[in-house]
This record gives sequence, structure tokens and C-alpha cells, in this order.
Amino acid sequence: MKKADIGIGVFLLILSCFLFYVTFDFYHPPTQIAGPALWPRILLICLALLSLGLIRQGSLAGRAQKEPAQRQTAQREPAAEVQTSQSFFQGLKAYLANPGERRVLFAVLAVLLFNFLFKPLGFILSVPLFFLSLTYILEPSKRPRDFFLRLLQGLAVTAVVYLVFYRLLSVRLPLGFLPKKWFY
Amino acid sequence: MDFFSGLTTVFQAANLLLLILGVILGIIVGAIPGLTATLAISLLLPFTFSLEASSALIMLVGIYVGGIYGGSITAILLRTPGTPGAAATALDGYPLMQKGQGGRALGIATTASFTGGIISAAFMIFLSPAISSFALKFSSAEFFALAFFGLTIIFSVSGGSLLKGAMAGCIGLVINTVGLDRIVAYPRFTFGSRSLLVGFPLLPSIIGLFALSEVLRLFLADPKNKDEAPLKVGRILPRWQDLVHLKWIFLKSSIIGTLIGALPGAGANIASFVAYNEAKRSSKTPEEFGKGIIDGVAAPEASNNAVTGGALIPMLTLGVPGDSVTAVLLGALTIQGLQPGPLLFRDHPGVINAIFAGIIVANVLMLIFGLTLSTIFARIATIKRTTLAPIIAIFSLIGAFAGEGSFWHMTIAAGFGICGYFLEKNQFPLAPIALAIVLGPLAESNFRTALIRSNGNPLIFLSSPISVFFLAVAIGSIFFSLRKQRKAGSAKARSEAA
Repeated sequence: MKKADIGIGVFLLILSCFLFYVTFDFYHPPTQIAGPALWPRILLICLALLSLGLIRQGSLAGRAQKEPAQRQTAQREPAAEVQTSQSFFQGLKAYLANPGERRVLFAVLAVLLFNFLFKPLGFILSVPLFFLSLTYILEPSKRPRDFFLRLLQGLAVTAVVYLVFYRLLSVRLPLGFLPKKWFY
Repeated sequence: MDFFSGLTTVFQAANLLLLILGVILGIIVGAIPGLTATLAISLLLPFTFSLEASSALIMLVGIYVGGIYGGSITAILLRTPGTPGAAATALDGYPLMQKGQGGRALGIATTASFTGGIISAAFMIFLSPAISSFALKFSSAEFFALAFFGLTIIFSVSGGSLLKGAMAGCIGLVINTVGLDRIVAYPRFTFGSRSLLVGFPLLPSIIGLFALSEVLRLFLADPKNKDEAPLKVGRILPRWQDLVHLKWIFLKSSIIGTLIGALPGAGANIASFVAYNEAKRSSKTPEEFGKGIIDGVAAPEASNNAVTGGALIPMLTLGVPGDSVTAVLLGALTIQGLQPGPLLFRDHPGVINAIFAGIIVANVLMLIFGLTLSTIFARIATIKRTTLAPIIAIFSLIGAFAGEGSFWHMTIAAGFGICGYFLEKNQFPLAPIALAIVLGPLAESNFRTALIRSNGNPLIFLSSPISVFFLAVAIGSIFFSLRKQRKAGSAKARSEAA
């Protein structure tokens, strides 16, 4: 986790420096003392300083972790080794070997795909598909009974979305390629 | 003032029915992520055109009261704040739910909302002119001081690491600077994107941060774990000893909510965080906040419902809306041919009395229906995780879309959910980001306006007793938080050395 802290700190430091540089392009009204760049600059300086603090904290904690580990080389724990000496790809492999993390990754992909397909497919098709995919990511099952049960649940959720948002609250949810007249 | 004639108007069968409908609809809409009281009132506004002024306003007040309260139900049950004002309620409400005390949290939230609503209504009835003149003393320097004081809450909601909490707050404030500048309408950090011109709006950001990140967290645990029983909700009706214990928090938070509600531009979302911070600051067990303590539910709920009465004060007495909901209500008054301001009290006392009585009765109805509907909503907790997680994800994403019918808002919710999950995984608290997104616009626009007004002289922030008070309390709070963290750090180091 300390490595992750250093990584996040470095990322935020670079980002805040880049955004600070971007503020020099901001328009500055000639008659105004506090232009559009003032507030972001104050915040970005704070963020850069805090990022430096996080990098320092991470490296100090990493060093403190290493010292006892070096002293007890004979009884070194495999977990500590993973944290300190693995490459990025090894770390990624170890990350994906965890079934929980794999599920989260697939769920993230499903959320992004739902966002992408919501407009072209419309909510009537995309909501049950999204529901089915998430339930399968959480608990894979090859039984046809489970598939039909989940499909039914997905359709029920779609019906609630249709009634509450589309009918009752008149929210213009996208219908995709389905004809509008079917839903009035 | 003839308050009883107002009660007579409210208790006419048709008006009472409209009020009941308004409160129930408000609670349901408030509980659905993405749908706010503002939206519910806007949707129902055309329906009120044909009604009498008193009847229309009674119904709209009912939606307002119910809508502000409704957000707390899903905040407690699912860590999905129905409204931005309920984000602070999720901080302790959801941990209580995970401890199997969700019913207790729901009961306290309902009672606190009722108390806040009643106290603020009393303030509205008896102290409207005094509170209005207090609110008028707030200029940009005072507003900045209030926002700065609010931002120091970041240190209260940071959890284990103040550094990561402060970083999360800073990230939230930087996020706020994206989009059109509020003073000169200059696009900042948009990189040519038209979608980014609107920046990152509050509602989809909060839905993403709290609800979607929680959905992703649900995917982390093994679904085949048979030891993981569905969460118990328990008794919803609040216990007498809890109410006695919370009496001062109810009172203090209600006053905070009423005063903040009366300030133009500062609504329930700001009031709830300020009241949460105050409850934590004055608590004998501040370390329990964030881990599931009823004080952390009572304070934001009493405060955000007290905003209802507070926000109506400047709207009725000065014609200045206290928040976005009262801005829509102001429109409703105008549509009915009424001119808000001092003349409204003289020319239309019947309408004023009906509003005053309506808000009191709406709060009583909210208590009754809140406790009843909570038992129905509480059944959500018994749904299996494999079904619940996809349902929350769908309602969160569609809720983010529904607010303004915007695909961009849905993308924001997804993006904030994913980033929120990874930040939380690395021990970055999410509450400071939400808080900074809530308070950022208030802080920036008033900071710059004050500097422009004073020709760049920063001493303007020390020019009035109100701003000096808020700044002193804020700096004191930062100092004490840092001292506490340092003490805790050295105690830990000593125990490790031993």
C-alpha cells in the first residue's frame, strides 16, 4: 500500500504541476484583482505540497517496513516480498489472481459498457442486459433456471424504471431503436 | 398573526389530502437517488396552476418537507444519498446499518428531521424579521468565512489520515474549478470539451462517490460466503433514552439548519455537514463518529430539515430564496399572482398563515409516514447481495441521468464511482471530496468577490465580527485536529517501541 501511496502522490504532483501550468493561459480581466486563475492556483499549490507530503510519508513507511524485513531475511514473509520487489506486471498479475478484484474489474467494465450502450440500445434493452451481466459477474451460474430467474428479475427492474422514471416522472429515457409509440 | 385560521385552511379535506400526497410523494422522490425535492416541485408545478394559492402552496411545502427527509432513507440503507443533503447522514447511518442497527438509524433520522422541521417552523413563525435582518448582514467576506469554516469539517471526516483527508478535500475543490468560471464565465480546464463546460455537477458526483463506489465494493467480497447473513434492520421506532441523549443535538442542529437555511445560496447540503461537524466537535466520543453513532445521524438530519423553515424566511419576508427549492417555490408564488416580500404579510395573511400551518402539519405527517414508509423501504436490506448490487447500480446511474436528462451526468456518476472505489481502497476518505464539491462554489465565488470589492485587500475577511468568528473557529478547529493527530501518532509510536 505504501508503494501505491507513492504512486498516487507522484501522479497528483505531476497533475497539479500540469494544471498549474495550464492556468497561465487563463484570461485575466484587466480591471480585476482576483481573476479565474487565482483560486485554482491556490488549490493546486496546496495539492502539490500535500502530494509531496504523501510521497515522503510513503517512502518513510516503506523504509520502516524494509528494515525489520532485512533483519529477519530468513523468516521473510512472501506478502512483504510482493509489496517491495515485484514489477508492475507481476503486481497486476497478482492483483488479477484475486477473484474479488477480478469481479470488481469486470463490474467496472460492465458499468462503462452500460454508459456506452444506454443511448443506442435504449433503457428497455440495456437495463436487463446490465442487470444480467452484473449478477453473472457476482455469481456465475450455468443453470438455465438461474438464467431465467435473473432475466425475470432484470425485466421487473426495467418495469419499475419504466413506471417510476418514464411514466410517473416523465423523464425522457432513451428508447434506442425501439419505436416510441410502443411505450405510450 | 392568526395561526389557527391557517390550521383551519390546512385541515380542510381537500387541502389535507393534497398535503398528505405531497409529503408521501416527497419522501418517495427524495429516497430515489438523483431525484430531489426541487425536481419534484418543478414537475408538479403545472398541476398547481388550477389550484387556489393556499392549496397549491400547502402541497408544495409538503413535497419540500418530505423530499428533504426522504434522502436519508437510502443514505442509511444503501449508502446512496437520495439527495445531496443526505450525504452527511450516510457517514454514520450506513455504518449503523452494517452493525445491524439500521432501524435505529432510520428512527432517529425521522425523529431528528421532525424536530428540525418543527423548530425551524417555530423560528419562521416567531422570528422571521430578526432572522432576515441577520441573513442580510452576510456579504461575500462572511460567506467565504462560513464556507472556510465548513471546509474545516474535512479534518473531522478524514478518518485515520489527516493528510489523505486534506488531499481528498483538495481534489474535490480542484474538481469544482472545472467548467465555466462563476464570475467571468471563462472556461477553465475544459480542454475544448463542451461537456466539461458545465463542470462536475453535485448530484451525479455524490451519487457516484457514495452509491456506485459502494456497489463496486460489494463485488469484492465472496458472494458464496454463507456466513454473511442479510443485514438486520431491527426496531425503527426510536427509544426514549436515545431521544433524551440526543435532545441538545436536536436543538443545536435545528438552530444551525434554520440559520444556514436563511442564508441565500446555502442549503441543506451545507447545513448538514456543519451540524455534523459541530456534533462531533462537542461530543464526548468524537472518535466514534464515522464508525456508526446515532449522534452522527441526528445532527445532519435535524439540520437539513430545519433548512426548510429557514429557507422560507428570506423567501417570504424579502422575496430572496434561501435555496434551490425555495427558488422554485418563489416561482409558484409569482404564478399564483402573489408578490413575496413584506407586502405579502399585509395583503395576503391567509396564504402566509396557511404556509406556516402547512409546514407544521407537513412535519407531523412526515413523522408518521416516515416511520411507516421506512419499514417498507427497510425490506431492501433483506434482498440478496447478488440482486441488490445491480439494482443500486441501475438506480444510481439512471438517477444521475434523470436529474437533467443528461448522458454526461451518467458518465460523471460512473467516473466518480470508479475513482471513488479506488481512492477508498487506498484509504482516501470520500466524505471530504463530497464536502469540497458542496462548499467549493460558495467558497470560491465569495473569496474572489470579496477581494474584488476590497481592491485586493485581504483584510476584508477580518472586517466584520461574523467573519472573524467563523475564521477563528475554523483555524482553531484545524489546530486542534492537527494536535490530536500528532498526539495519536506519538502514542502509537510509543506503544510500538514498547
